[in-house]
Amino acid sequence: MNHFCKHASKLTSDTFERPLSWKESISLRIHLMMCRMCREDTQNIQLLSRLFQIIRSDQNTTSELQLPKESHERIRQHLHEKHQEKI
Amino acid sequence: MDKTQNNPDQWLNEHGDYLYRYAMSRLRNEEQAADMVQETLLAAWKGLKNFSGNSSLRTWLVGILKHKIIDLIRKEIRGRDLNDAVENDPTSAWFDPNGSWSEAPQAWQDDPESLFENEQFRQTLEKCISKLPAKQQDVFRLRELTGEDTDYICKTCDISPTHLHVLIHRARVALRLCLEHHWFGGKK
Repeated sequence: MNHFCKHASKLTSDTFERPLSWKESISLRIHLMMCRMCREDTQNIQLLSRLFQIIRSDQNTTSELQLPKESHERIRQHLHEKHQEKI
Repeated sequence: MDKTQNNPDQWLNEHGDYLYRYAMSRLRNEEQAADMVQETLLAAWKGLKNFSGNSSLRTWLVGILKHKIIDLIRKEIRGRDLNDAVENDPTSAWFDPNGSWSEAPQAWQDDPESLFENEQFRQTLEKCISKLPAKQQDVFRLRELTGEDTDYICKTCDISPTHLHVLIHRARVALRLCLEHHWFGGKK
């Protein structure tokens, strides 16, 4: 059991990134059944994962963010200059 | 400038905010985001004949913006200290040489929703993320804050999926360590 905790930590992180092989999946599950410390840690990883989900969806709904007026004007000027060059 | 639909001035008015929001969500830097909007509109105007009209104009503009952002991120990453190749491995702080826990992790009792509402926690979280080594921080932000998928991150940062998973794992371990020390640990 002992040697596996560091590896289990990596596998748990990977469950959020890629499908585990059936072998990885089973060995992780068995280890988590036997190892309280890794179970505690997994809970924290899941908490963080859920937290970032909330942060992301909150970002997606902030629709008030606008191009600042000075930037808008600066870009407009720049585009106009480029247009003049073209003519 | 002509008053028809197909001029960048019009695009700026109609799509500027949207493009800016998109760029900000990925770059988190106002000046860079505004520059990206400018570059996108210029490139779109130059390449207007390439716009087939199959997609909406906005979709097309976002496509151009995406590529510009990827190029920018790549340039920045290449500019970083190349010694970052040997990334800090925080897993040595959690695990002893046998691979077992050197410090027993404790499950945090808070719920994510109330943590999200807590401004001080958000600041602590941001500080912890900022302390991550450059490359870990880059991929972690792209993955967890922007929600990009593996393909996009690997393409943008020019790394293999395997390397990405290692970086993400290290970032997660480092983050948990940092939060344990600076937030949750004090509550024991």
